[in-house]
Amino acid sequence: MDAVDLEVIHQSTLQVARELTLNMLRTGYSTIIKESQDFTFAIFDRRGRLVAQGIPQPLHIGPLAAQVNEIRQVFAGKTDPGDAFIVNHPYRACQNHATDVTVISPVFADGKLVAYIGNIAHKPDLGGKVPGTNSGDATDLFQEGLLIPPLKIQKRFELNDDLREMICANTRTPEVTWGDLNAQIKTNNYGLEKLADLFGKYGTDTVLACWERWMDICEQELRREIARIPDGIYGPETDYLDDDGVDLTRSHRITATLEVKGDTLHFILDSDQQARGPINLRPCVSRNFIECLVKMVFIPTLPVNGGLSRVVEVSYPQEGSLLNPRYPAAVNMYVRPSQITTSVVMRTLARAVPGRVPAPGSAAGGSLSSVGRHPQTGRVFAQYEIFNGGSGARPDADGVSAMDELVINVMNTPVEALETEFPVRVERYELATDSAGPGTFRGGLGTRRQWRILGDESAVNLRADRFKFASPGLFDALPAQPSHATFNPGCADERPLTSKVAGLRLKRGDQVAFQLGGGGGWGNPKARDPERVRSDVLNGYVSLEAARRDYGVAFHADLSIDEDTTRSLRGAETRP
Amino acid sequence: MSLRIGIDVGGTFTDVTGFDDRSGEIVLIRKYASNPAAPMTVMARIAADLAAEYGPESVSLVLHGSTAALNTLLEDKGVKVGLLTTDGFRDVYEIGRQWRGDEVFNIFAPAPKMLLQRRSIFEVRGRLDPRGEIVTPLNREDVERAVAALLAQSVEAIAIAFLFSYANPAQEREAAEIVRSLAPGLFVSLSSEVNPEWREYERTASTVANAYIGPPVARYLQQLEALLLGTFPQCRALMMKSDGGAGSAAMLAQRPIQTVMSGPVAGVIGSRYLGDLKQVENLITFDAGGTSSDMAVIPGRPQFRSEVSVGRHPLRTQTVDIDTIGAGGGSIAAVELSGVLKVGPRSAGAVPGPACYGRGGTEPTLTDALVVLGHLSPTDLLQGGMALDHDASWTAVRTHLSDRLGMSETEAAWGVLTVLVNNCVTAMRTITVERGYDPREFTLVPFGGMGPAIAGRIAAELGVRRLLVPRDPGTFSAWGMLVTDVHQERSQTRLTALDDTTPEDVEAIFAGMEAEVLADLARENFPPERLRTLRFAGMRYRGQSYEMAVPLGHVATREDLAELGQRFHTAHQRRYGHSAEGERIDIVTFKVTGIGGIDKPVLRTVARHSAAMAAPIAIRAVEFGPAGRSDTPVYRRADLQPGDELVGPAILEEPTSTVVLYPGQRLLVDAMLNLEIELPHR
Repeated sequence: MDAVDLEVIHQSTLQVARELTLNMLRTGYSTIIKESQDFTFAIFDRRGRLVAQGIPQPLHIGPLAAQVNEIRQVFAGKTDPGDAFIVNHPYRACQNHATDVTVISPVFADGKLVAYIGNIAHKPDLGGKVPGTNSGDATDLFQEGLLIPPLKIQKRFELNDDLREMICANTRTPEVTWGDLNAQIKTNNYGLEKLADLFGKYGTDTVLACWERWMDICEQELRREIARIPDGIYGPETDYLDDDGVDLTRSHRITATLEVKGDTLHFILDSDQQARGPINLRPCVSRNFIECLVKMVFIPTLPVNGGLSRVVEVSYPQEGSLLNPRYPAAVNMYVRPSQITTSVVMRTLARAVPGRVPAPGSAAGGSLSSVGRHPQTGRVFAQYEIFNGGSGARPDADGVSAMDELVINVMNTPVEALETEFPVRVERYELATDSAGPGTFRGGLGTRRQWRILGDESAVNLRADRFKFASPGLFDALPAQPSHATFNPGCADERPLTSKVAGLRLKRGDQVAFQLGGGGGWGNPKARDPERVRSDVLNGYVSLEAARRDYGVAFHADLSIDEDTTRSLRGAETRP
Repeated sequence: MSLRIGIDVGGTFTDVTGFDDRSGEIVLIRKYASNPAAPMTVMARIAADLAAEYGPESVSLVLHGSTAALNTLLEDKGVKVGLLTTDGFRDVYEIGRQWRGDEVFNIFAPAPKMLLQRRSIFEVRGRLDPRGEIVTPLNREDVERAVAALLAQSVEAIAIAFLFSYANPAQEREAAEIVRSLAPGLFVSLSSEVNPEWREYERTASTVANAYIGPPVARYLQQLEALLLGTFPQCRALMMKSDGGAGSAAMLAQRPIQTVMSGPVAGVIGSRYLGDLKQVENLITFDAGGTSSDMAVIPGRPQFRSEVSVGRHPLRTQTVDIDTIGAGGGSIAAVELSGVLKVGPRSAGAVPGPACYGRGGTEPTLTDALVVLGHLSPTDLLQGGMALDHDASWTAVRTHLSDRLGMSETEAAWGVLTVLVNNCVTAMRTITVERGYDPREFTLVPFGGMGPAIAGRIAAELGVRRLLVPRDPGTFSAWGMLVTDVHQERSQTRLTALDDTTPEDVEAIFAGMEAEVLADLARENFPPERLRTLRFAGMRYRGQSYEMAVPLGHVATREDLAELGQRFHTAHQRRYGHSAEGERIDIVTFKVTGIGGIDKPVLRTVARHSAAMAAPIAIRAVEFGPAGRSDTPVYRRADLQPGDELVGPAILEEPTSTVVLYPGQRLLVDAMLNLEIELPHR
């Protein structure tokens, strides 16, 4: 295996993962596959180590790796060519939540098991107490949808019809759910052919050796980068979730500490006790996105593979904690703790390598859904939208508005599509002035969207967080604004809403506004170039009051900078 | 003599091809140095040269493809733009779709690009509902105030993009009237004209981009037309559009956004024309130049996309579906990660260029690797047009690659070719698999300076059995312009449930748009017998958020509507592998393309002038990797005659390119002097 093989086999393996993704996009049924692209394909070697992945949702890889290893053990000696396994059980070995369903297919060459193809795809519904399955006030796993332990969904290329019947009987949307699941199985089968071509062309042993070598490359490159960081403890960094959706009075702590030892990173995670509500997070989920973050910071151009996990160690609090929940604690809102965990981990990394990590973003991403009857058609409709707050400031640039850094990558819904299909009028969709965390570089702004109900009645659900806590920013930045939501803003019966709302009943003409938090700032805002502050004021990102209060920049009536006042406002605090 | 002239303006060279309708021959192929800073000076020189040589009366048609609009966007050289939006929606343009796309693992993922600052965006009161009915009338004072503020900012163009304007353009038009009355002569761009389709972010972004490039591109088009018509009084002067058709300055001046991708499309149109002549159905085009390669899948007809992204900025405009990868003659090879050979996307470009150009480049490129392998002439390119420094290629490969990898120079050079070919093959697999096709059912059409040199290897790796190499591959894009027609299109979003509509309603929408495009084309002096229209319905299953364009004819009866539904099911099955017969179907967008037909050049077939095949001009040692080194005959392509056959290895040199015939590949020269290459069975 020479330098040419290394590149060509590597690119060809990535191409198989890419083609699996394209084939799934092409043949999947649901809008979750086709438009949200809420699915991921990956290839693992025979020891269950990640080799290659398609363009994924960042939160999917961790569970897949854990599930491949579970299946290796459960079905050791009982795996044949043409088998495919299904699993969605969050505690066998791991899953984000039950609506993420995994299909894993073993790959054989010359009669030997040499690799696995695995995929996760989110299902629109898999039973449970509410349509869409994921219930914001679930208090145990059994309220969160059908649980499937590792089972064979395909035996020697024969579909397991009994299992299909069983699954279809447990979803409100059997056609779409099975359509997607079938596409997952068939796409894995397609991948078997593509990998067989690859093994045939270059030789199985050469391909396997190449995969092994790329894990070594990633490991070595990462170790080299980490070795440059001074040994020591960075952190602890702490942040909080508003509540668990069940007990709205109690917030939940998440803490991360980073220990750098030679050429390894050790993240020590800690949290409060597990929550009753569904905001618990299984360790393999957080473990993977921490590895992803490390790769993104240190070796952005290299692939994600099993080599990374040799360099990154993660410790968890004892079982029964929010970050290490005990079966059957509810988990379906796993994105909320994932966002907070990402934030605290980013902050420890930013302290270790200050020039290479953005400040944490808003961590405010959340969804608003609404169910009612359409006055024109008489049909029941379900409107579902996901929103992002602002991203964090970079060490040399402002954050991006309405964009998440890592966890969420889902499109918003165009106002014109929304109003055409649902009895709703969007009154405003805009950036929220002053929402960003002030800093030498400021965070991205959060968005504000306001809806008016045009139908007779609808029930609104809000699945969000960060109403009580906002991104604190880094290195003397000021905190960003938190998110908030309001019922009938500007009206006599105006009142604030909590971050987790289930089944709020609205009548014709009622309005709801949802504003998302801004991203964290970077550095002391009083050290921000006054011209940048002026530009922000002219563009309406920052108000005159905030410019004076947070940035210490004052203006004349014509919006030129009032140098004298600015100097005295900034005073000794100003550091270049 | 009746000349039609194609002019393809690239970053480095401007290619000119002239076809004489009387003789059926290509009578001129010429390269001029481009001058991106002053493109009109190059055009003036070309016009003057042609007028002097052939006479002003001899030129009947000039088609021109240019990167003017694209470069204006990519180089941030447009004008200062103001934007008027619906009250409450100032930030539609800045918020975008909160989508990181391919940047999902980039912790510093960039913001969507904006072509103006937020301070130049003003909200005006006035609101429509989804059916286009007025909820709030337009507030004229808001518009007046906004225009005054924008003029104080010295904007040179104003874009207007109101919610639901595709359903009713009245409020945008009313606002535009106010703008024009306050600022006569200012470029105004309405979203209901640029792209009257739903999804406000993409429509707004397209309208802003149109305004941003509008004044300079319109000026360029009008100057060019004046120049050409002034020089050649008998000629029709046309610009290539992104959709593969052509348009006049008058047709394009208000919507220059239609020309943004006009550069690479002509090669696709030319390939299709050639495929039709040769009765080859499925084609993959491969246009390889110095920095990048453009590729397109043509399953029967060219495919289109309705949206492209240029420098992270979306543009919704009908575009021939072409993908570009960073692989070309200038792609740089390097050893990275202590032992992995990477090739591209970094490119040495034209300056400094490959090491062998002797212009200061020292890093090895694909071109240098091909020189080391003997695939390219060791002494010169373009049949003597450009001298090569053969030693510089060897030095670059040795010092940067082979010494570090413990290989010979030729092994390393073969490795460079292998890696680059694999990059091209994976990209081609992606674009075919994505659309539901198997690349093995296609014929590869290579052109551009570098295409025919590496296509034989790509075909073998991709599993393609046949190649079709056109004449003068290096200037084929300029030739492709000569076979196009004039296109004028209209589209409109009107959400229509197929079950609830009537044939009369559907017919009325299409007929109205057809009348408009035909009137536009009549103004371009096309007689009625040269006019025709194509209709497309953008359709989806209820609940899907993207549409597929389905072609259709006249709609007279309920059966016609039912058949349209059936066609959609079939198209969905082909593209996505399944259909849903019971589901409700919507027509979302109605689209009409008007075509003003231009006579196609009739290619003359050539007879053999001698029984014997020409002798090679040289025998050269050429490396073919595992197949080893062969003493390989080198032919001048111009010496070959129809019916000549060759079995590789062989090299064919010509003024604009080099064809490499790999061992075992069979070549036949056809009656139009194209090369048909067949690969051996594996």
